[in-house]
Amino acid sequence: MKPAKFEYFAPTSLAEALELLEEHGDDAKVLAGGQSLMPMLNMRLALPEVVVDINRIPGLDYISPTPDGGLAIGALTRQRSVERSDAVLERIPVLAAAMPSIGHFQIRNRGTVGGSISHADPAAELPAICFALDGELVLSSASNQRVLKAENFFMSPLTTAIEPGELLTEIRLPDRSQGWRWGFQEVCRRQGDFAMVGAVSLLQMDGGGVCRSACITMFGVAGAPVRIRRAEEALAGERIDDNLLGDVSKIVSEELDPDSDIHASAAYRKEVGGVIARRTLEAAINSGKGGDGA
Amino acid sequence: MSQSDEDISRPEASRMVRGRGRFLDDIKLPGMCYAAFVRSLHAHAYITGIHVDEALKIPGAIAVITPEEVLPHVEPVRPAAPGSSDFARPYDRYPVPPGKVVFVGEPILVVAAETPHIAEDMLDAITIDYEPIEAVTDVDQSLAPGAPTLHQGMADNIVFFREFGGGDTDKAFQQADLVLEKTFNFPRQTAVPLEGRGVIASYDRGQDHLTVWTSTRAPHQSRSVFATVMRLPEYGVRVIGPDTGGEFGIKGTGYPEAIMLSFLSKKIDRPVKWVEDRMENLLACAHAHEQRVEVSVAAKGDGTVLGIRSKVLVDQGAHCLGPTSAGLEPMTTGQSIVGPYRIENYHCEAYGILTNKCPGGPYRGVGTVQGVFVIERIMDMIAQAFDMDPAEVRDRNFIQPHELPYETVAGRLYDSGDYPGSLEKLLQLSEYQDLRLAQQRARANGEHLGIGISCFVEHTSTGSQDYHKRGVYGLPAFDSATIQVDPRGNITAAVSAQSTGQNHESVFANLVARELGVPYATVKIIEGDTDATPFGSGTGVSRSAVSTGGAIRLAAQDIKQKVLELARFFLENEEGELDIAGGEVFVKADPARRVSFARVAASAYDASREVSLPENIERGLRVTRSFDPPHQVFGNGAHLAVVRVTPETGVVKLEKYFVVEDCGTIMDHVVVEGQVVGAVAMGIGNALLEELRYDEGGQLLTGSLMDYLVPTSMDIPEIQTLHTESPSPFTEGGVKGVGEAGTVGAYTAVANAVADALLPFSVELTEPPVGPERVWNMIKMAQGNR
Amino acid sequence: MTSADRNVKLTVNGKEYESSVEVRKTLADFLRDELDLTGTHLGCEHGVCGACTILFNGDAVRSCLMLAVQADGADLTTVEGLAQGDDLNALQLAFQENHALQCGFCTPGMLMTAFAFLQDTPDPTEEQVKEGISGNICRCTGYAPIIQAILQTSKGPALVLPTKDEG
Repeated sequence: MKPAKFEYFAPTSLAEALELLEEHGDDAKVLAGGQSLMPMLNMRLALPEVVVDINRIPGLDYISPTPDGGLAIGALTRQRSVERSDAVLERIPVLAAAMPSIGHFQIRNRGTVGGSISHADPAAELPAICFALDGELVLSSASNQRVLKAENFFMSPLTTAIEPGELLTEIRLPDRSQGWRWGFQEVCRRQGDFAMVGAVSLLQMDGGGVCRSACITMFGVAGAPVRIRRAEEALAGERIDDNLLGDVSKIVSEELDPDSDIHASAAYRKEVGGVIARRTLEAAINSGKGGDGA
Repeated sequence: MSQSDEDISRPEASRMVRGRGRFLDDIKLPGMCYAAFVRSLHAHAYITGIHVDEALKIPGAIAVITPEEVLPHVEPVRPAAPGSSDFARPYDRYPVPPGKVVFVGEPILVVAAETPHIAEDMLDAITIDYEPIEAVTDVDQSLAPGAPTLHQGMADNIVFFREFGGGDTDKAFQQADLVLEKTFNFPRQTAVPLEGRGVIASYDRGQDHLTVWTSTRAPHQSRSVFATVMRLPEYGVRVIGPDTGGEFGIKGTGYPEAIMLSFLSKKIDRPVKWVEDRMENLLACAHAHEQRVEVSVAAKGDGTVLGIRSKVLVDQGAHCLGPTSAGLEPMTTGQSIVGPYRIENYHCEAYGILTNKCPGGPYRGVGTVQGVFVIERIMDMIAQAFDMDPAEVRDRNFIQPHELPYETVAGRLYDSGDYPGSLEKLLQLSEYQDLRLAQQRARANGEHLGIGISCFVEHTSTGSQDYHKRGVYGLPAFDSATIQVDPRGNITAAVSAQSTGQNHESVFANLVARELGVPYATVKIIEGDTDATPFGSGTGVSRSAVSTGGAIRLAAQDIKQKVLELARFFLENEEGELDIAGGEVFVKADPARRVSFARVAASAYDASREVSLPENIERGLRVTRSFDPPHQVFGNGAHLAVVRVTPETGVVKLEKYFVVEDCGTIMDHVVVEGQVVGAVAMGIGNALLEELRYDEGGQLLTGSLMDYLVPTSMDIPEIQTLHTESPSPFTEGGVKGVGEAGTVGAYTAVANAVADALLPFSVELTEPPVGPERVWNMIKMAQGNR
Repeated sequence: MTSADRNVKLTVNGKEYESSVEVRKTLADFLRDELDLTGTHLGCEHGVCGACTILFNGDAVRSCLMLAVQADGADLTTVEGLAQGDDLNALQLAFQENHALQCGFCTPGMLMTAFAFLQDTPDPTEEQVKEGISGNICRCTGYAPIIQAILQTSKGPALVLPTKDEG
């Protein structure tokens, strides 16, 4: 399994990279961590004419606090850096909790936040978290820069709103620490595999066990991460008890419309999606600050 | 002095931790180029056109070999020729498609280029014209009236059929208190050795001689295939097996790629290398284990099994790899179903059926995993029906130790073993009663803890007698060893086996050292070169300890005899008994009188200043002996798995695992333990994860390691083992094989544990692997049936 | 520059190399083919099995998922670089002592992963070791002796890479 021929560029500035992407458009593929692109090149499933290796561009690898208490993460930030970051643990603990589920540490040594998000595998963790957190994606091109909300970014399997000539340069995530409870869980065949079905739940509660707002994101169940709004509405303003969680679980199952593949059927994903969503809600409630299950 | 198993230095390990192994892809020859294969995109199709001109224009492209160039110069392999197997149906297998292809991935032609990248570029530039034919992708389609037949000359797609058994099954069913009728479906699986296949073919036109380096377990059988197919004398072929990165059955013989590469090398007059990539390995190497087994079981109210009727339908894929392949799984499963139990009435119909999928070959636990699964699930079902403990049911059915050797109604002779004893040891090791109590507490808590037992016998080291009984001829089933002592007392033992991870270099060197009474450090094992080793079967069927070990013991005895004879010349013509220990020959009655092994050896080569041997003594110290196991010998085992199942998600977590293993006399404790634990891990993967899937058109859906899942460290729990020994009366030293037993046990113990965990749901568990989707489905179906 | 070949200069196991390499060649192939460092093995070429694991600027990576040109200016360690001459390091010895290999094909990748893991987590629990090697597939040993070998090594002094030979 050896790659087909391609032209290779390793720009040393963002401007140079953007010019190359502008010039080559659809003929070009961006090489960041390589953990998704290289297998496809090796298998000749991807046959780009041009590969633009962005690893030599300085200034795209950072985790910086933003004024609103969140974090701005450079697209080229290695997943391992996020995994080890105190700032992430403090401000977005659900992100820190999800990191060990991404592949294995060798993959996270090279894989980047931007790469995973632009690759947009529907069963991947980083797109799901970004989506669940209502993150923002900064897309730069030679002539422009625009900011997209996550809900407008993930279109379908392996397809995002990135236009030819654009490069994802920054991911902005809000603070989800104080006052936020969270749960993160996936069902995989083996640890580190992509999820057959996964859920991220975030809750804001008041002192008396009443839910102020809920955000329930499912992944691995559709072409892109999905929010289950009807379930979120069912929780908002209600005191959360077992019965309500049961109802919410049912609503999630009803709302899901997954596909079947060789790892899991639509029926499985639909029902187990409800189960997992409930578990993440329970984790969010019970541990106070949140927790994940195996 | 031989070393203890824990202390011996293992040269095979020493070079591996340095990264100095020499695997096929590590070998570079002057002038070597690289090959790649054009493979069929269709499951069943005529080839109506081949267009290679564009590919040959690519800079760095060297040549192409097409089927037309090869066909006039080859003999087909006859996997089931008359005389090779009484029960297999004959057809001719050519190393290139004879005008049509029969599975997706079948190699059609081979290209050579200066780099592997360019070789793959050539593939992209070649077009094949196909005329698709209806494909049959499961046994039912294949057997349906009017189904297209895969191979010319065959009336249908049945490549093997045999009916056998004994006793009176009709009577048994009349007397039954319980009749169970079940259908088991086993998934298609493949071995996934971490190193795929690889071949370097180098045809020397000057010498008219072919040298083939190949990652293999059976160099001599490989050579025979090359010689036969390519119409060469055996001396015209040399097969070299370098370090091999695992094979678990599938790097045997009969792969068309190797033949095509040999022709390519001859055509271009250069050595050519092909290294299979992982996708090729999954697509086109060898598949295994896919079967449907239908059984009816008659049982008495006390839990004893009166009789079984079985129908074994093996999905053989598009070809049989070699003379035993056609009957390999059908017969092995058919004969394994009776297990270690006294079942006196049995009838089996065993079929091998061709389909338009990757050809079938052996994968660790071949046929036994399915047979054991069937009988052990049945034992649990009987236990459930009569509200008995599953261990108790087995106990009531075991063949007792004093009854062995025991001829089973399925036609096997069990040599030795204490089956109830193994189970008893297992129950002690696992603290079974405590486990059951823990299970009760868990159930009360709404948790689903399961305990699964698997008791089995495992056939090892088949000899020619057993092959003949099975109706298979022309398959050498002996192994050989040539032991040579050099003039300075160092020893080589060249053997017909080929290690693919079984540590032959250390295990056999230690055996030679023990048998001869010399230091371990003076012995070297030579393997993997048909020019340097004696003819023999090779590795497989868990045979090496028995057959190669047996040959070594016999050869060592002969060498020892001669050495003792020569030693007398050094010991003033001493007539009393002599022996060898610590590298010295000594007089048993007076050990102070001694002479070193090395000094004696020198005399055999006229290299001694002390002793000149009389003329009538044959010079040299070299013996070749063979051992053909007179019978298959049977290890046995008892495994217990503890699982926790989450019904809402179907997720199974393995918590504990226990093994009691009996492989006869143990030759090397460290290696045996390694084989058992490794094989258990493989069986766990088989039970929980591994499944090859095809679509209706015969396209493989599970084409990479992201889809075909093998276990990682996270999937394997702590495995506690206990070894016990029932020496075989039929082998040198009482040794039996052990390579596959762990897989056989684990495949079923895990499944039984899952079924046990879900007892409250009364699930029907007859179809591994028990991944989350399947478990969840089983529960749904059980709930739906209420 | 649109040549099919690029110049790379890199350090491997303390030794400097300079070579012209086709841009589509993976780092694993470069090490094996150009530098004759065949200890790094290929088991899948799609990033699953870990047989190709090396250290790239100290981090464990899958070398089949990197292009050789990406290693320009980098400092690599392969399995051949673990031992100081003929002296195996404690991890390699522990693998031997614990029978942590059978066919040996996964071993180089396991060793490199284990080395990197122990740098990060010098005093691991058994569970942590198990997780640490979960990205490396072994088909022979069932993992238990590999885990034992790594645990055993963790109890001793920290592993270091060999010092450069003088002359």
